[in-house]
Amino acid sequence: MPKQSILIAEDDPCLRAAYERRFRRLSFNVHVVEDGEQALKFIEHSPPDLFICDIMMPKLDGWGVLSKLTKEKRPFPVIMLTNLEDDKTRQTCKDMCVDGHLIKREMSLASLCTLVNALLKQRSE
Amino acid sequence: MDFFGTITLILLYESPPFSIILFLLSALLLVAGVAVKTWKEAYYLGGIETQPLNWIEQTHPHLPSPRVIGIIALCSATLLIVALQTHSDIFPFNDPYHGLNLTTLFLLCAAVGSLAELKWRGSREYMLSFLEGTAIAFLVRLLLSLPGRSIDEKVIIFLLLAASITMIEATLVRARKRGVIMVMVFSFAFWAAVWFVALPR
Repeated sequence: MPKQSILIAEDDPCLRAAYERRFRRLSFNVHVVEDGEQALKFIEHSPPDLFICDIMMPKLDGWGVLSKLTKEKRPFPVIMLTNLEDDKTRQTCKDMCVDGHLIKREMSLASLCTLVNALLKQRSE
Repeated sequence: MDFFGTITLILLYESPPFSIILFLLSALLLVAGVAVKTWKEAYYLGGIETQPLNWIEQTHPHLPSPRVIGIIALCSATLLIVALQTHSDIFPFNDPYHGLNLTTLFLLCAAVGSLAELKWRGSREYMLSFLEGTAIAFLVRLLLSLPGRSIDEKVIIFLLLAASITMIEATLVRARKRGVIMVMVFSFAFWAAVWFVALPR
């Protein structure tokens, strides 16, 4: 069975490395990018099985990525990770049909892995 | 007899001299130190699992690479084997046990490099640079000691090698900090000095 692939867009290098290592340990095919532009380019060439996206990023932020990647255009689940906890952000995520809107303060690598596994399992069923 | 053979014989059949006991104790302490530090780091990194993601983003904990530690250990062991074959008869490595000083030097390098990788971000560049300088020095010595070559040919080989290394560094390796380059030059100069001292007068 081929490895499932995860695309992670995160501008913070340390967090990016932590995600990469953690998901590699779970035997996922992990690809990391630094901004929204790189994420869109990657998705265009090889759509992942799951996409984890930070909202605040340089060049093109998470909202910019989602606006070009509408629900119809993406056959994979998207998790938005952010430090923004306001209602407006929650509502925007809901409007853009995001599969998971997660606050970084409330999430750990362990809980993120549990959620990713659950979403991918749900997708394969 | 080689260093490890001598040690085995001494430990099995004779009362070990003070220098051997000191070396073995130092080696044991170094290995124990690296092991404890590695375990502590692994425990610390285990804690990252349950920390909030914004904590990782704000504190930027250092994530040591087991691969780099493995490479440091492997390179040190390889260079030690080469050094034991080629350097154990020249000062300051011509100790009575034919390898005690060399083994101590490379063991120290591996331990310092591993500990630095566990502790400090970016330290790997300096350690690998030291190992690289040593490897280049050994290669140069190997080429210069080729039998049946005149001095002129050896100088040409040396210059060609220096040009190749410079070109490889410039094209394949990303721009390095001045300190990293200095470490490489220093390690090369160290081995060159050892050979210079060992030259027959």
